[in-house]
Amino acid sequence: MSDVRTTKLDLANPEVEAYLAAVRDELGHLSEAERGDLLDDLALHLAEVAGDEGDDGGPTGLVARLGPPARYAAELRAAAGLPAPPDVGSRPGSVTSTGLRDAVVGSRAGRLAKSAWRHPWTGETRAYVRQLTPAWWVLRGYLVVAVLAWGGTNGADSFPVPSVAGSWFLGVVSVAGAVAVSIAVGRRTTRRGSRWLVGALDVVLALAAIGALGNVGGDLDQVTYISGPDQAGYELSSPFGPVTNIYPYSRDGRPLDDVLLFDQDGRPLRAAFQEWWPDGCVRIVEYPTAADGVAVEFAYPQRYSLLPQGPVRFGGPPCTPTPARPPVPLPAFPAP
Amino acid sequence: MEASQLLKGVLDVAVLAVVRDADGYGYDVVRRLRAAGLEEVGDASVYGTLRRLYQAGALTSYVVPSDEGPHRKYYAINESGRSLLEDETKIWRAFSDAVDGLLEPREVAA
Repeated sequence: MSDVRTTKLDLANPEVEAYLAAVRDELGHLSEAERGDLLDDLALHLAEVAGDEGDDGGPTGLVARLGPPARYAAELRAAAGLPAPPDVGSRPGSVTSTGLRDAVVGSRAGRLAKSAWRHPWTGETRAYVRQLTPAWWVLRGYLVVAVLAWGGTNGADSFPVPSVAGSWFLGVVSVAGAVAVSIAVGRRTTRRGSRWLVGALDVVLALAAIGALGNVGGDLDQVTYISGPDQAGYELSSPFGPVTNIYPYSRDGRPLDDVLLFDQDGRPLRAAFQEWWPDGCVRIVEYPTAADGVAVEFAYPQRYSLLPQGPVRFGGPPCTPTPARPPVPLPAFPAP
Repeated sequence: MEASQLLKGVLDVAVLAVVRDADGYGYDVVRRLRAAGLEEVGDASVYGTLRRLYQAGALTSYVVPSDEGPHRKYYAINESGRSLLEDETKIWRAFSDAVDGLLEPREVAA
């Protein structure tokens, strides 16, 4: 008996799985028993070929070492003495009638399609696409959740992280669950009929995703940025960026309210409007009004408050407000 | 003339000969055929041939469990396989002798 190699074989190798699936697909015309018998140990065998890579200085990759799956399957079938497939397009489940099929296959276009189908490049491309299927399973899980979120009224808020019931956390949890389900479906869908069904649903999902993305794109275009009052020209800034508020204190350390500030030429100082808050909630500034009812925009500190309809983000989903600004410690003043 | 075309005709006898020397699993048989000089032998052809010879009753198989990797299916030759190998060896010898004879340069008849 020959020596038993003790190398650990990687049976879960996606390349092996993809290649095996492609070979199985090519042998679709055989009966379940014939095919099962032929493919009995093939996974093991392919894993060994893949595991042998690099040992002999040969090419790497199953397709490079064994050729396209279509050719491999044809060779395997011929060597095993099993019948060849009747013809392209006549696999079980195909609805084309014989006469129509003959006309199609016999036509010039049919012959072209057949030779294209049997070209080694086609096999390699199909094997490559098969290797990408696990990536599609993950994307599919994300899309199922994202499309529903994008299709909602606040689509722009759900891109790229979908929000479920206004919560990004729920969105992420939902995506994780959907991805797990999608992978499970992908791994278990091996029968031809159910593969067609899942494939059709995949197409529907992809189209819905494209449509929903258009919706999101429109929403994103409509986002308007609220800018501060620009009639004042320059807004206050400091070396750290725009100044959005000023907290005046008296010399004995008391915070002062409604202090009016002017510059060297007697023009009122205007702070920038604060657009973004750490909690994501939209806030508006409330100016005190003078005796004549006119808002005094240069009274400090300025007061920001949530929208009258409650705590919401841009676009409308609710948010949980946290204190707008932590209590500012009183500055220390030297004793007079 | 391509070696791969010739191989198709002699793969049965080659595989039987390899397995007669020592039992082997699919990939092992491929490697031993290549080591013996049949470098163009196709992986799928060997694998398919093994399955066919097994179906035809010329080989038996048994599974060898392994702690390291998955179980492995070994093929061994049986009596039926041996007699098939003998018959095919005779055919091959006669065939190759005939071709050898043709390839020998001969004196042109006067």
